[in-house]
Amino acid sequence: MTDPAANAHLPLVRPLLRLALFGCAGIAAAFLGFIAFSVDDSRRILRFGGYYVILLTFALWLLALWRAYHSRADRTVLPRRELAAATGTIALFAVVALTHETFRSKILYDEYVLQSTAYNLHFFRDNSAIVRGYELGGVFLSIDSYVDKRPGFFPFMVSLVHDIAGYRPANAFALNAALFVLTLALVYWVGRQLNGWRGGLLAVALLGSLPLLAQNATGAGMELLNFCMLVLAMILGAAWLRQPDETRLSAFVLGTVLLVQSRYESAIYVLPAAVAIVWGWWRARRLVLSWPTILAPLLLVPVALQQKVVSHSPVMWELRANQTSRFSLDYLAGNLRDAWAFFMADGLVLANSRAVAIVGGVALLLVAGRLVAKRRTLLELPPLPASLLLFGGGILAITTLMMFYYWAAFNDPMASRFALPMYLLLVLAIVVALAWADRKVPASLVGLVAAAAFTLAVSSPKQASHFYSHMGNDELAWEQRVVESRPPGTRLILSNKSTLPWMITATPAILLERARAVADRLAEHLHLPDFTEILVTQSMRPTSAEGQYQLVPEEALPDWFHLELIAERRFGTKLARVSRVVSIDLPADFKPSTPPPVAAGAAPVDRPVQ
Amino acid sequence: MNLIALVRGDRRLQVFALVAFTAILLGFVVIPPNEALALMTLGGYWAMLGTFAWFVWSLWRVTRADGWRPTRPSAGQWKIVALIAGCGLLLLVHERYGFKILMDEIMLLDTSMGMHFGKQPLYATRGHDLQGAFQLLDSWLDKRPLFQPFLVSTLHDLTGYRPENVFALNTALIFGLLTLVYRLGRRLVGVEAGVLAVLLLTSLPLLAQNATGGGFELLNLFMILLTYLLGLRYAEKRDAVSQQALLLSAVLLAQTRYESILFLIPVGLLVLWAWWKEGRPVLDWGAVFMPLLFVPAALHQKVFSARESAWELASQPGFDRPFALHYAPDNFSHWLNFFFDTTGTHSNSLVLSALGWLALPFAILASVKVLTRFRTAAPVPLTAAFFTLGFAAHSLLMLVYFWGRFDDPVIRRLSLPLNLWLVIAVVMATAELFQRPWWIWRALMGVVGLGCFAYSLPSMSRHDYSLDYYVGSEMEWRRDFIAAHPEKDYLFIDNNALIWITHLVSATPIPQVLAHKDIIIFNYQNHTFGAFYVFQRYDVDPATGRQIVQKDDDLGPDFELQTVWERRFTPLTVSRISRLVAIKPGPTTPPPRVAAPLEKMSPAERDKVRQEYFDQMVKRLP
Repeated sequence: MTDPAANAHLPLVRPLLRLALFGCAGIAAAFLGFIAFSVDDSRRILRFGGYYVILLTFALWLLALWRAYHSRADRTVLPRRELAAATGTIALFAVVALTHETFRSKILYDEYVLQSTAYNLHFFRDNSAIVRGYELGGVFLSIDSYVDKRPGFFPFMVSLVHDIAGYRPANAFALNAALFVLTLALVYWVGRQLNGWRGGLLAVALLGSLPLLAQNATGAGMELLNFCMLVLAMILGAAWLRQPDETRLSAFVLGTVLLVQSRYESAIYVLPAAVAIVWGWWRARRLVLSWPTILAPLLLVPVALQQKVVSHSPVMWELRANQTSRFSLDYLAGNLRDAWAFFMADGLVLANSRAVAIVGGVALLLVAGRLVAKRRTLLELPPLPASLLLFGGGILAITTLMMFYYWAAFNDPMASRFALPMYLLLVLAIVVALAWADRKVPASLVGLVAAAAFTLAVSSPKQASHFYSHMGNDELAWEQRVVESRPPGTRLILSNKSTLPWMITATPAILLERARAVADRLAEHLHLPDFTEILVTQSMRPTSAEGQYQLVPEEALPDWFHLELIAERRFGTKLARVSRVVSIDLPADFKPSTPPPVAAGAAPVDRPVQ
Repeated sequence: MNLIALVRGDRRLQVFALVAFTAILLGFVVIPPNEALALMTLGGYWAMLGTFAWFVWSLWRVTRADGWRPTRPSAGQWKIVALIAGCGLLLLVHERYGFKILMDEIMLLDTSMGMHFGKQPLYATRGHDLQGAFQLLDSWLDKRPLFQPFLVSTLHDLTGYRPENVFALNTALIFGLLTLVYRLGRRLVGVEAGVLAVLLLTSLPLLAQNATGGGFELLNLFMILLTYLLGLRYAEKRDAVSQQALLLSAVLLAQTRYESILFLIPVGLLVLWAWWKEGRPVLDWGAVFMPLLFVPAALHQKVFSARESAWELASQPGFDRPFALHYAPDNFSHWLNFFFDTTGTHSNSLVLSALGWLALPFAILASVKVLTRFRTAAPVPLTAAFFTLGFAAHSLLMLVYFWGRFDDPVIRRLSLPLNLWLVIAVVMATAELFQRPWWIWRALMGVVGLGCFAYSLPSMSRHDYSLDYYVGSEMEWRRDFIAAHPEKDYLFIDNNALIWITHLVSATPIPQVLAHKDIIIFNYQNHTFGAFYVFQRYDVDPATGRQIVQKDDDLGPDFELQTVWERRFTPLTVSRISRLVAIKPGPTTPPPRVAAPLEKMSPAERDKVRQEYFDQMVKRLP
């Protein structure tokens, strides 16, 4: 028999032991992430171990969510009419958002890299993007790959969809469409907690009608996942603060770990999460530490390793010619000006929402003023407002950080997506401010009518034209349509852009620069049955106001490449063309690229893929 | 009822009078035509949205007042659902979806496109892909009422722009229309009458043609029936909720087709009768401001003052006024030709015409009888009598319309309200004349069924009436071309440029090309478009077989063309799509005019020659 008196110290000893283990895990994670491994080793670990770490994190999170759901204290069921109204509104905005734009990559070349990584994760559990690939023995193999700078959660999720539904590039769009619906449902839940069904519907209407969110919902990028995880982290944070126990802590911490791996800068949310954990301890009047929480620092080791790899690979920073650092005070003024121009833009060209920016800005000031006025009682805030306060601070910190980033001009359609978290904050501020105003006037109802009018007057025409989504992908999509329209066969593409869009469709491709260098091999392949044809993509630009188009010099092939024009199409002022290589007459002085491979291992492959 | 005392005693009535006066001033007096059109451009969409939203809300109030709740249909109701579904499908399956009447349907689609992309009720005459997105460049306000384009634009808003959305709307409307006609028959007489009305309407090939088209005719019929049913409810309840729904329905009906404004007559009479019956004006604050909703319709009508060409008098030589009494005899002979055509080429329903024209005098007499006893008349017959007046006014207007010939392929659709009236007349007259024999309804259903199988269904299957109108067939041919060239990166030179623009293809008419050859050369040399195509019609000389391009389609000798697609849609006319392969530099050489043999003939002579040629051709087919 156990002596009860002997066990009296256990409630204190056990948490302290766990706290010590948590500290050890943190120290170990810092050591492993920043000190223990060289850059090359880090790259290798990420490449062949990254998948399993994120798989473990995701599995643990699902388990924690399942437990948290079944042990929840709040068992509210939505009334039937409210359920119908919420479902109808979410369905309406989902249909509007998903039908106006073509499902297609929106951002060059981010989304192709993510899809390429998902390809390797799915087929080979290899956390890397393809540089070169060929069909060998009936299987399209990655011959040359690299560890990308982008966090791994989105490619992991896409690879998971591939695992379940079979590989197809469109799975990334399916995932984002599903995430859009899920995000609106979560936002409804948050709005409902703040101001009943009115708050829920208002939040859904304001975010559902945001062209920027709709643009990302029909793309293959990681923004929707980041946005959805942010809302989930807010909700899980609130659940933890409401009921501070091990189950909810695990769900919250693991959710935050995944949020951190959804976008680069989301690492900042570790800070509000840490404060929330301590806040929860204070509310529970005890130290609560679950085993997944103790493990969490170690689950973040891949993030640290990836940072190390990226920091030592300046080529990945994609800096412009005159830039030397990614973050600088020099970028602040320009970024602030461009952010203002984006949030206040009134035309159809940008995917912004001026109404949300103005009303949300005022609401945010009101909320901030009220929080300052009640600063002495902040610790007593209800769980959801407390969580929103912490993550709202995180959003502001990230937006501030972005202002120092070299490529964060929000009015650049490529960078507009960085404004998404800020829109979440603005929308929630509107819901909160109108909830206060509801005590005197039916402000939320007026807000709902205004949101409906705004959707029709502003969002709908914007989404109908989606000017902001024509950023080079039109040309890629056209090239792929031209190739698809040709008779069946195997093809090699000599691309003037990236090879990634071709790789994810299992079509071999190399850049024009490499094509010039390996012209002898191409000449040989013209006489071999490996490729039915070799196609070239190039572009022409006007040389004067009268047009007089010329081939872009960097994209020109030597005269001894004989091409036959297959298709040509104008995109803006640029003429894109697809040609077929008819013959290659190598000049006498051409230096052979490499000796023909005679033995296994002679080929410059990084690692034979299983 | 002392009017002055009433006005003095009712503040709402005072405001109503003031609002009505203001609406008349705004709609007809103070705003000149050009300013009226500018106002409509800015606010036309929003006026439609506001009216429609209010109408939906008023319908919701009506259903709430009735305590309506979704319930499981009974076995009898399932039979009706099956009947309506079957009849609706029957009307949809025989013809291909397409734009049947040019340019009406394309103009409506173009306006819906303007509403969708820019929230302005404008049709675009120029549009190009500039930076990836198709942008509408030059836009104008059309004369056609805005309700149908508004509904189509809402479908675009919800599901993205595609021309086919209008077919989705008309498909939904055909089932809605059959449901409403059933409800009307049941309300007026009983279930058997409802079933008979559904069958009678289904026997009408003209309805099938419009159900698979892109026009506003089905919406017009739907709104007439909805207004009729709301009128019946109002006559019985005489409350503000019903009145609001009825008036809003009438406002929307007035903005569905030009002449449907005439249905304000029965609605107005009904409202006055109800007020008289109640001994007070039934006015809530909503109804007080309703006259203002008619202002957009009044302002829009000024397009006819601003543009004389809007009447399209020039399209029918020999007419100088849109309406005149002396048009009636000729029009009536054309009506008879339409209603009693036995060949199936006029999209009429022989059984409906026979029964309807037999029943119509009795139905009119019954209505006159009710109207003369309006003080004691029951609400349902009185409403029916008022709407008989509305249908009669509509038919009379068509009779004195310069282009009111129902056997004309473009005009047949204007007979739809009259056909609907015939359906209602059959139901009313049968109820009036045969109150006893229970089998009369089943006998009539049998007759209608026989008429359907003997005449209507073969007529719908052949749909000569659609295929003979070669302008419509050409339109579908163009859509086939678009489907075969999905890149849409080409410029189309076509006098019907709007067809291409509504399908997001750049287009320009031939006179523009001749006037601005330098612009075409610039774009041709710089490959602005993937290809340049031209649509032209050629007349075939019956004597020599030589094809001569029609005057309006002639590009002249400067433009070298290569035939891509060619098809004959009607004897002695060949439609051709060619690709522009070279342009001679220098100033435009005007097209040399070699008058085609047909150009020297009168329309009657042309028809005669065409018929003779057709007969010869049939005889000489291999």
